[in-house]
Amino acid sequence: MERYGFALVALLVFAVGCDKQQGREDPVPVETPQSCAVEPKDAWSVAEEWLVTGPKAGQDEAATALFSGWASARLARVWTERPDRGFAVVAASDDPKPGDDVVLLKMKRAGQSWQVEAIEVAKGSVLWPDL
Amino acid sequence: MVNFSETKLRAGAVALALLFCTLAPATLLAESAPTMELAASEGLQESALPGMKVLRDRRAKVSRVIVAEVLPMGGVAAELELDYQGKFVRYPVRFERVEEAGCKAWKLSWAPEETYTGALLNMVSSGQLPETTTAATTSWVAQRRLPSMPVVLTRFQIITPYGSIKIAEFVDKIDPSQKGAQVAPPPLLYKHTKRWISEFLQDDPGPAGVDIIADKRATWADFNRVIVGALSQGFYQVNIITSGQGGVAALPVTAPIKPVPLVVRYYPFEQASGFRVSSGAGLVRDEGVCDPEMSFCVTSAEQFDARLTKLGAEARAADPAGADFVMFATTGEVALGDAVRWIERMGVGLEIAQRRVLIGFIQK
Repeated sequence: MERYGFALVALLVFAVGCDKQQGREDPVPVETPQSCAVEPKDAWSVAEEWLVTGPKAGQDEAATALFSGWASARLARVWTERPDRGFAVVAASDDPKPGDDVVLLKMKRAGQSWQVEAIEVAKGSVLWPDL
Repeated sequence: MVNFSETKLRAGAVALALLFCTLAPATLLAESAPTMELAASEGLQESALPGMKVLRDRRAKVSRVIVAEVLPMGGVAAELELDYQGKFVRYPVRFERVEEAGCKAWKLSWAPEETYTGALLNMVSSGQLPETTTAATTSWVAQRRLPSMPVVLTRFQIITPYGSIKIAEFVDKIDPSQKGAQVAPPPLLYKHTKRWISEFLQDDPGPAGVDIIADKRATWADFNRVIVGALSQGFYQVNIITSGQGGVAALPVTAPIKPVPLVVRYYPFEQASGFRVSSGAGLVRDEGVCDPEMSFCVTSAEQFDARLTKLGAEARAADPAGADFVMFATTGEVALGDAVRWIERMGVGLEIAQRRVLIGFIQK
């Protein structure tokens, strides 16, 4: 009986430890919420991570300047195209107006992982209906 | 001295605990997942949402998240790509951000009702979608666009993500002498469309599309009821979902948002297909037509293409600005599948974008 009790306590200790590890304070600001590490990441997750890392050196200057000028950045929409293309609209707010400048992330899927290949300036009306 | 069986038990407990740690995110967070795609897959496996249960029971698979739009009040309106018996279709869902065990996660919070879900799967697997053969369509799941409101139209019902509307019950209550009675939408369709805008889209200003997944035997009148109902709420971009050469396809057209000079009216005859065409103020008249009221008649798609090419050139010569749009209209009893075989040729034939074909209705 004691042995079963020990096993149960051990299980609970490990379970609590596991939970604490997952429940540690998220250091990322509210504007850039992060999912806990998981593989494979989907296009949204990769675009969300990009909000933290920002543009790489050598990427489109206008888009880099636009992004750098924002106090915070949000993902407004993400879409994928088979078999391996993805796009994300990064804006200064969740709900960019049609005429607002936004940063368009162009993503490519390699195997199970997506990566941001290029960025450019676009308008908030990307994907809106067009006659 | 440590007892052997106690050591074994401790090792077993540690192994069990490690297993628990590994599985905890999946089991404790059964309703949420770290990525949207995982949340969709888990939703398909475990969600109690009625629509997801239908997908699960019928062994539909989630291939990917096609589009995800952040909504004004939070949450995301998305469309999933479903693989059902090798047919790829779009399926709208809502995701919400949740926090579980310190992790930001996604939860599938809404899916269409089971009636819609079942009807969608039935329709795409029934062989009753209108058939298209030209490049005027694109694969439905490849369309670049924001989420659209999907509506299934059978010969007897209009089925939205919020439930079904029996057409006959509604039509029986309409005064046929009332103006527009033949294409009047059921009041319930207004309500469903409003719900779609306020609940699913949270009044997001971007989306303005409706996908009509219709039985090819549905009448032009009932097809127009759906379009008029959607247009009344500002949804003007219409996709007729078809069975194309590469699978389930979308034929883009537009609700009748404005008067246009070029109007092509289709009348089926026993021996030929007649078209009465007005271009500006005048009526186009060829010689030797099958009916004196017609502008021209054809007996094949190729003849129609050739006549459209000539018509487009004439319209552009007469009024370059007015030739950007065309309206296709026919009478209420014509079957949608019959109309679609002409609609899909109009964009290419007239050298205008296919989405600039407006849908019209001819009163008897």
